[in-house]
Amino acid sequence: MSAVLDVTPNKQLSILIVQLGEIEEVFRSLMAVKAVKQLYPEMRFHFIVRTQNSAPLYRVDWIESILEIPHLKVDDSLKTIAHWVDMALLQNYDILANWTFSKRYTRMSSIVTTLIPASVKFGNYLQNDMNIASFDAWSIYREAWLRDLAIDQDIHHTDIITTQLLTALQIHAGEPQADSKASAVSSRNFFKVPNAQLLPNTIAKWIAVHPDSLDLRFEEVIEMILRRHPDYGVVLLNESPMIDSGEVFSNNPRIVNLSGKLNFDSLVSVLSNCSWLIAGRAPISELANLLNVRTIYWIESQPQITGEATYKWSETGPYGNGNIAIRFREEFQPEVIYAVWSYYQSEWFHQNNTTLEKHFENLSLLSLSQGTEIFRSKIRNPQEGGGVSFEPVIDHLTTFEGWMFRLRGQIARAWFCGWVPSIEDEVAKFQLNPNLIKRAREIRDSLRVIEQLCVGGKATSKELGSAVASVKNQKIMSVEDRDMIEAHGKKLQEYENLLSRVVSVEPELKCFYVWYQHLMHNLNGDTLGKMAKETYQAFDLVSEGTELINAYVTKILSRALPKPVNTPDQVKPIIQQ
Amino acid sequence: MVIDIQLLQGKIIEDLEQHPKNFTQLMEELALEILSDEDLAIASSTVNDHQDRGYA
Repeated sequence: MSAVLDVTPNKQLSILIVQLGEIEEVFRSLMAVKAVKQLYPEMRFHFIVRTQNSAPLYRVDWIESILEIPHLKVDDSLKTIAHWVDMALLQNYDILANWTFSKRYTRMSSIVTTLIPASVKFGNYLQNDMNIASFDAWSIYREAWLRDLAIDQDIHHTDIITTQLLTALQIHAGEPQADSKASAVSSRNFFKVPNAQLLPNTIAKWIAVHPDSLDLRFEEVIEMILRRHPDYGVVLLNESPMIDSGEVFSNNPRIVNLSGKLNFDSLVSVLSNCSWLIAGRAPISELANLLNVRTIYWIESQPQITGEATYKWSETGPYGNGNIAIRFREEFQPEVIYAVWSYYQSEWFHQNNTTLEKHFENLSLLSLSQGTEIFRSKIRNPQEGGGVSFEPVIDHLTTFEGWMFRLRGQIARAWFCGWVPSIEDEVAKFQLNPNLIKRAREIRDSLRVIEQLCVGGKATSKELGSAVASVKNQKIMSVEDRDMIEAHGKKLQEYENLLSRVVSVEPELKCFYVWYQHLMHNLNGDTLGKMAKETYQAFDLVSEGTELINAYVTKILSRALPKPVNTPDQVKPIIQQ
Repeated sequence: MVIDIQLLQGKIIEDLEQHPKNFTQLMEELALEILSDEDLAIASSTVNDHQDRGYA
């Protein structure tokens, strides 16, 4: 297939982002286009969004156009839609990327993606049979692994869409220019909004708090901060009005309650003047990350469901460097939130000369830290796989599930980028323990079976390809040829069924079955021969994934082997001088 | 094995002038989706209304 777009340096491509999801999805999309704009400043970005989410886009001065989903009246809905599509037709987009993930808007965005012309398309669309399918591998990956709650992996949503578009541009527009990073797309002034001056300048530093996404005990966190840090003030930023709850807030000049009082412009203005945000899962966290405001992020124990999109925290947690995510094994502990914030807000002062554990000890909170998982976000350099990563701050034993969570991300990086980290170095970071070793041994059997199924699947796909190639006309063939092709098809179906049985025994490997199923759903070959080739590739990818896990298992088990100790006859006698 | 480049480069549309085969049906579907979303928004006026949530 020949690419329609010529690869010409500095070519200005017109890129349309279809983002009909929730407001947090709009913020994540902006984070992604911000990264792309830094590398490819000549690209021109356009958005299609729902009207209620459009305000942030109008405040980004380098976004060329914003097309809102029209408001319809039943009587003339088709006429309005036709007029709206005509407006989009005039734009001549080079690339269209449908980044909508919210299930509620998946169908709507898929129709829009199918209707609006562009030279190259990414994301979900509607097939001729009106079923939803995906145009590209990253979109298939999102549907396969991110949609499924049982499959945890460590590649952030923002990184997925960013990498998807960057790969597209590398293919269709060439490598970014060497000096392109000089073009600043700054964070604090990302949105062009007037300064609302709603925070009194008598206080030097501000912390934004979003009570609605926190536990009710958030008040205790505020109290501790104000008591021990006289230079700080707190601004409350709930979306809806918040009634003063008494003791802590009443007549305290260091607490400003702006809940329910701000529009988008004033919210950005206030948040930009804050050093920190303390929040749980809420759009304000994504907004703070766009503005480069450091975030203390409370991870709720259950995945959050917003607008019928289910999110795992590691895929949508705070993006950028230096954000802190905290998960409690049991109940919310305000003292821990305070201790973590107070440690990180004085990082420049202690320069890591003291550890977080020591800090907990100084505050007599060491026992509380043991029931808490704390992660610090870091944007890795490209040599380490790139993207945001959440590194545990306090060491805990490596669990099997925790290891598989990291490993799935490595498998995806191997598939998409051909990059894998040093297994030796990765395993050296593990805290080996009997349970991990036991589970590593157990999973070998399932991996072996999957590997055999992949060998069989690849051989059958190849045979199917050869059988189809030997037939002159795929519509008119002999009964023997037809039976042979059908037999190969049935055999492939059997391999899929067997794969499903293996992963029902070992659910941690369900990811492979789901991945294979989605690749099969999205076969895009128009002949049986091409489809056989795609099936071969699907088995090959699964096979590569199992090989990677196997390599880790071998390394873990070799490290777990008992080490020989010196026997008495090997001990050299000490010669007294 | 790295994923085939055809799956990474996106779908290349050869003829931009040509409408999808089911163009009219797609427009009808889109109208239905938008109308049902508007109905849902009216039914649950607090959900997903960012105009009341400081993002508009």
